[in-house]
Amino acid sequence: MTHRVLIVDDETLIASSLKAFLEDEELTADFVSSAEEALELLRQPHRYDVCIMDMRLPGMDGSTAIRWIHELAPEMRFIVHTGSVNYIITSELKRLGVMEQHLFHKPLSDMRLIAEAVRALQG
Amino acid sequence: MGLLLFMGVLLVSTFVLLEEQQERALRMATENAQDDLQFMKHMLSDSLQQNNFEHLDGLVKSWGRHVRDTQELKLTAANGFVLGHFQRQGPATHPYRLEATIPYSYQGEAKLLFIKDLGNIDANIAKLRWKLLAGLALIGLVLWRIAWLSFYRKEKALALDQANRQLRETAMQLETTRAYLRNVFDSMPSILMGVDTQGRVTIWNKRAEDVYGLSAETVRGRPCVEVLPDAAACLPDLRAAIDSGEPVRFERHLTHVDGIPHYSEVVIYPLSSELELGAVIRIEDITQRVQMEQLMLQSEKMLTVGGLAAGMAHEINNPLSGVLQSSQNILRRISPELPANRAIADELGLDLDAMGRFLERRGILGFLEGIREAAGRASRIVADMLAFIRRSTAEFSPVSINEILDTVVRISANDYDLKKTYDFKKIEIVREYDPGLSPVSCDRTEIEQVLLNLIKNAAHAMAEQERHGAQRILLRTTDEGEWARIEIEDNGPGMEEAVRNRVFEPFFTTKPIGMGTGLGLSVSYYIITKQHNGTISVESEPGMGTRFIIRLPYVSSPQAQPPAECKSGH
Repeated sequence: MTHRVLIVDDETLIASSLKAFLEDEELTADFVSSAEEALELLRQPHRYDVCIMDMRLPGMDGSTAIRWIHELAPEMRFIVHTGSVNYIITSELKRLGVMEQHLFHKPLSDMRLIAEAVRALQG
Repeated sequence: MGLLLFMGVLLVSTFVLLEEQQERALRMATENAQDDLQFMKHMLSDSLQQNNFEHLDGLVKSWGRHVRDTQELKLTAANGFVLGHFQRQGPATHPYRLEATIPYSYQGEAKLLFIKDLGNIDANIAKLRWKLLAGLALIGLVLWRIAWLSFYRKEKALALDQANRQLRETAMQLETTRAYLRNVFDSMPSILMGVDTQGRVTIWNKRAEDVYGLSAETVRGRPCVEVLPDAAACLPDLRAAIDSGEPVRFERHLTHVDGIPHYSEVVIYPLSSELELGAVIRIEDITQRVQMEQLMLQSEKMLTVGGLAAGMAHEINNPLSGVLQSSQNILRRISPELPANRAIADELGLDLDAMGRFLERRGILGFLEGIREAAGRASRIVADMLAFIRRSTAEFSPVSINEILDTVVRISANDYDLKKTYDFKKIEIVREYDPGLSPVSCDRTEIEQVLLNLIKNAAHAMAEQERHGAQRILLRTTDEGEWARIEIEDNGPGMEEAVRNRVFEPFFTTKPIGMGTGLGLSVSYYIITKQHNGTISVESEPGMGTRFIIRLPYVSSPQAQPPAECKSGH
């Protein structure tokens, strides 16, 4: 298993529990608590191919982060995991391949759904 | 005028007649006198020729006495000797003198003078004239009297006629005014009731007739409290209004008609006329207005609450995520099935099965499940609340109705029920889908909300009913040309007509206080009819279940979107 998932969420409990779940699902995952940390990490050589992004973050917000990450790593695929009820996928994000099935609202009652989405993206 | 002419003609003809009569009488009298003279001449002639003179005087006197109206009769011999002479006493009024000569043997001639008085005839004529005049005068008088009477009567009739006409005109004007006034009263959309100082009904307009089902004839003159028992509470105000001459107004006077609350505005206008004391009471049904105000107040509240809730949701959802995800992880990580768990347990020398039994025995698994369920419920409360207040994004896309129905059934099956009033697992879902139904262009979340509402209502209704038979919800989709038809039918208790007529009204609910907002169906109605240009209707009879019918146009758009674009996608 070479694919890795990067979780960006300032809520450590959410990020860590998601990481734990994905690991139990035999996926490898790491998490950072800000967009800036994620960009820092991705500037280095890495093996992440899916990023689970929270939208409301301290500092850089999720949408901007996705744009930047796309610049750094065009092959990166995204899953949006947000607590905002009114969140709508912008056309720009759609252009970057973020679709309805990649949008998850918090709280997730069953993390298997997000695991399935990750697997689908990794093909 | 005609009468005068007639009288004149009568008078003239009478006098002409009278003149003629007089003339004839005189002529007859003179002719008689001639005859008498000839007779006497003849008789005397014999006596004279025989020289028999002795009895001549006696003869003359006898004739003078016997021949009518003789004034003087005198027989004189040729030598002037008076042989006989009769002279009536007194002067003649109208002497008529005749003379004749009678020859006799002595070669001489006797002269006979005969004077007749025609005065009697004159007198008779005069008498006749007076009589006639008197008669004429009498006739004239009678005629005049008749004429005068008829004229007077005519005058009087004319005057009466005019008075009548005036009266009729006045009556007509009065009737017109009354009709106009009645028309004004009847045209009023409010109930108008006039009362006198005794509180008896004087005015009762059409609206009042319609609302209370009492005709004006039956209520007029009756005490208003007898007609409207609700009015009893207003009596002191009625008195106050009449006494002060100032209108009195109440707002939101709550009454119940057939158990349905009605708000009305009551205004008592005192009548200030000196002739007519009393008041006019205007009752206006402001139920709709009050409901609208309540609705606006409610939606304003909703907006405020919505704004707060949306912000709050994010803050609540994050910790809820932590709780939910962690509890899901814990449950997985104590499970003996996961290979990773076994690996760690073996490493630590822990009997995973024993731990499982321990957790089971101590009820810890139940508690963990409880945490997960409670957090799940909290998140669904937030989600539901948000779904209700969330403004529609109005994104129309072609959607399979059959698929939406299945999704909604799935959501309903997993749906919690706060007060545990129904168990969805007991309900049999029968699907009668048209497999070839084309996708409908709609806002998926909105339509989902509507269908979820209807299915939840059906489940609620069936749960309320004490029944032993199977609870069943039938979902049917059919193609109706331009429309897709969706039917949601239950075999629950059904509805009375009074309920059925009001199900789409805002704040109308049959659920106990606190159980329903009374907004579900009105929001559904709004979504279907206003946002999707569709129709929603209900068919229901008590004991026969309820069927909601939704018809959605295949092509519709929230804004002026080209319809072809909507239809082409899928």
